[in-house]
Amino acid sequence: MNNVALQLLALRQSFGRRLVLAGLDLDLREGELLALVGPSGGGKSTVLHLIAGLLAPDSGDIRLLGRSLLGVRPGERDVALVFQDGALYPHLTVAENLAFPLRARGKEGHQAVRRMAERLDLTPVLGRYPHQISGGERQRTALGRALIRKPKLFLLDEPLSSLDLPLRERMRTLIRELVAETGVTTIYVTHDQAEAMAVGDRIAVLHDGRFHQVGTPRQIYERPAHEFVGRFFGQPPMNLLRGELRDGVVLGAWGKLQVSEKMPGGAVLCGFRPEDALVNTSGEGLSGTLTRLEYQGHEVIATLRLADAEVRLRLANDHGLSAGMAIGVTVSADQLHIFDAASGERR
Amino acid sequence: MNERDRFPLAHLAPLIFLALLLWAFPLVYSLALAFTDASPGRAGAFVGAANFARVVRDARFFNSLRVSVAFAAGAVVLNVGFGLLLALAFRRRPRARRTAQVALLLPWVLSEPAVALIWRGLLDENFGWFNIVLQRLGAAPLAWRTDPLLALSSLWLASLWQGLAFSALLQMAGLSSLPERLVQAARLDGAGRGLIFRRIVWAHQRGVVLTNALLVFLTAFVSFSLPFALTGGGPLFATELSSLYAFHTAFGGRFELGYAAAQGMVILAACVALAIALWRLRRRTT
Repeated sequence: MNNVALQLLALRQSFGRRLVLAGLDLDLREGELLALVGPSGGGKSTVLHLIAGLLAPDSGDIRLLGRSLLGVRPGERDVALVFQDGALYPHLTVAENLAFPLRARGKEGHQAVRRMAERLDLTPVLGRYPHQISGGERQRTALGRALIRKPKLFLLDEPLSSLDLPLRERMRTLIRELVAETGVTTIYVTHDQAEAMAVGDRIAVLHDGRFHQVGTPRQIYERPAHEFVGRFFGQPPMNLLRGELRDGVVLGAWGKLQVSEKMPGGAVLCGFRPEDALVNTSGEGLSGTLTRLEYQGHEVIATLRLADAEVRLRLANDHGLSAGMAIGVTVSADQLHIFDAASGERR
Repeated sequence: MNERDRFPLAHLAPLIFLALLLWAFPLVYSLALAFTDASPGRAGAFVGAANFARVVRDARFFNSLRVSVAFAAGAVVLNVGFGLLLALAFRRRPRARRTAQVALLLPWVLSEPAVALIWRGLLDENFGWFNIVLQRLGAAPLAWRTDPLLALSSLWLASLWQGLAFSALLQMAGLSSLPERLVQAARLDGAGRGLIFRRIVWAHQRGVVLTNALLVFLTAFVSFSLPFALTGGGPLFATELSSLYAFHTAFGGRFELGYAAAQGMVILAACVALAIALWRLRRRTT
């Protein structure tokens, strides 16, 4: 336990003239569930395809349990991949789909198929074809087919995107259970930040061809290493105000904010989360006009118009507030996240 | 017929008229002719089923049916087989595929007599390119016009050269709807090329292949221009398809329109029976 199962070393990939992966490095521990997030089209699927062997990297190495996977055929890598739409074989029954990876290696697998079907509640539909079963059953079949041969690495490419919300929750729980039961090292790709936070032991944020940050959900959320990471996690997203940092204060047309640590001046992006701000009706702090109040039941999302920017706030309730009011917002210095305006990195 | 139906029907009228003129009328007229002893210029007298009785005892007719079946079967094997191979070969090469498609379509746009002339030239026993190349390589020239099997082969070659485009394009279109995802999933599952073909590609392509086979068979079965211009039915009826024999009966010296019509009706019945059989087979396997 706790030894390195998967290593990505300086992984580079271009498609034509577009550099998709600019040299990725990553260490995955055995049994760990890593959530790989990033914007759509950012290269997350590419990473999975490279690990699975469906693509060969332009440069860099991929090592599974110390052994390089370069040049090894997909079928021999002992890596399983669940595609976004399941990619079930349409002309085979559920049972035949589950058995396929075993039959491909010359094994019979009746027992394994039965056990897997029982675990995944697929026993009643074993004889049916993919187009005859529900979306959830299809995804469960895809999961079963991937795990039936007990792979060393389990890759999931946005497995829940095609499912509706309540089903997604149940499937998420099922996946976590399966991973915990089998102890398989897993990479879970998603573009949904909430899903990543819910599922991953650690999260890797992929953007602009690089990992901006790899850390636990808490580290990612409370101490984002890049303004992209700050913006990506949290709903509504982190408010980012552009300003000039001088003598411990960030100044902008929208007002000014006090910073807690000593740091060199310069152009910065000053961020705070919607739930970390305090609202007052006396105009203290950043002052502006309340333009919108969205009632969400358990909270209210307020939009505040400042001089040249808009910020959003999460409030417990909207008592005494109405659209059009002039209000003020204060944020304590230790709730601020300061990022360099040019590079985006945390200062 | 209410107001709303009249508008579309008015648009269909020209098509209906043409269909009646070019298809329904000749069909009915031929059926009627089959029961007479008509000749060009002489309206025939009703002879009951005499023509049909004669067909059943006509050895030359049965030979022509045999030839038609042999030609069509060979055409199916060659066209569908190579069509599938081309589709598989170019499955993941879109640019090369387009070049191949253009190359295939060039002979396709020629008329059948033109194709026949080209191949008569190519396969001429003395001056044809094929035989000259063979002789240069030290082999004996082949008797394309005088050997019965070679003559039939020349028909297969010429029709393949012209017609492969149809089968190849049909199969390529069918294969392009196979999601690459499935092949990737199978590779990950450890399946080799053979298993991938058997359980995934073939399952997907089966319907297209059978439809392709049906269309090629029927087209080849009733083919006329190419065999007529290439071999004329020779040597000694070895390549006389039923279409050629019917033509010969009607216009080739005997001028027996009624009898020819009867032959045509039997050929039609055979085609319909075959089409139904192949269609049933297709429905059962997909």
